[in-house]
Amino acid sequence: MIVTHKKDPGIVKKYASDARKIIIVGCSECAAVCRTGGSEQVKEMAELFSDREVLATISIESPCDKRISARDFRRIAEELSGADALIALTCGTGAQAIAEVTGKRVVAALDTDFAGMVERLGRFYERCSHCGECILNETAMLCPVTLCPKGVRNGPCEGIKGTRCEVYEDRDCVWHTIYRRLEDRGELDRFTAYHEPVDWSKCHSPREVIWERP
Amino acid sequence: MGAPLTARLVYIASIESIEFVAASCAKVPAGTGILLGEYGRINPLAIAGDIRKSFTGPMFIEIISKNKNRDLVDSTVVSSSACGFDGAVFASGLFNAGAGIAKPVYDLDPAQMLKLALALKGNGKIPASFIIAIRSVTGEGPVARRARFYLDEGADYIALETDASTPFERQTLLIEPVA
Repeated sequence: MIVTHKKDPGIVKKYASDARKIIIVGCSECAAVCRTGGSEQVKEMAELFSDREVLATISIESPCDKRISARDFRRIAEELSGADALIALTCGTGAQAIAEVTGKRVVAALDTDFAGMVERLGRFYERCSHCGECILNETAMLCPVTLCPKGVRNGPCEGIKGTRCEVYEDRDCVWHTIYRRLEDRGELDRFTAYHEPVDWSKCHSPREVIWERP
Repeated sequence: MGAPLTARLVYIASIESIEFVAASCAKVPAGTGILLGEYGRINPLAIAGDIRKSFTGPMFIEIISKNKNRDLVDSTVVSSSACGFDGAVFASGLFNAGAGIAKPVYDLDPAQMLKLALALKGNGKIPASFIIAIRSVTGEGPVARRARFYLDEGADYIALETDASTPFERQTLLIEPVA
């Protein structure tokens, strides 16, 4: 799930300052779970823009999916044609997809943080950095690239303090935890398996996946 | 493997003036080396020539991966040898050093830096006598395993603070912060 947080309302209004007719767009998936772009937040945003003409509010199931966005915007085609700007309560990918689908000016109302694991509402944890070279099978299903602030793939580093991380002293070093898990599984031989540096040539932005037709 | 030169290094983590380093080196006892760190505004490479004029003991550079990608680590290792350093101590580097708002780099970890340096020795970019040490800490379990890994893979030394104990006595450099 993509974790987002709200931009300062004043900043959102600043970027929409010359838009008189607006549409508020929410996301009923990730941003709804984060309570940044669900129906409540769409309503709040509409109230924030009560000094303008709010032509429509809409919650799209996956605004990042252009097919779904295009389908849902067709339902408000008339309002869309008259809108000066769309206020996007979505992740950055969603906001850009909306801009591409509608051709309208879009104001991003959220900042995008990370792809997160959901423990429960209000508790989201980053567990993957999308490096493209996953070593989870050698590290007892704990990603050191993400869980170590230095991204050390062959740890621990010299900063370890007892069992604790140099940076977050209230947390165990992930390499300590990896060691313990491997020890419990009788797989300690994997601990010093050497992990090459990440080949970032595979990760240059913007990344694309395009299926070839069979 | 490089020849062992010394077991103790006086550590100047942060270089802000050449005069301070020169004065510190003048107090270093015979048989003790110096280790110049990269945390100050002045890079150790910039002053190596000046220090060499007066300091004849073993001279090491601490090369941290913080703020360097692999190209810069490569360049720094070769440059340190060319500038007269006898060896390098590799470390990941203090995460919170500096203002703390720059994008952290950490392209390589110390194990990967070790492999890079050994490859540089292998292809003659740095001499075989150039000493390679890796910063470590005292500990059991993961710490001890990783230290063993460094030595097994070809590091000449593990580098530890002087108050640390080590099971690798003959392959340990003791680092003593400058007074």
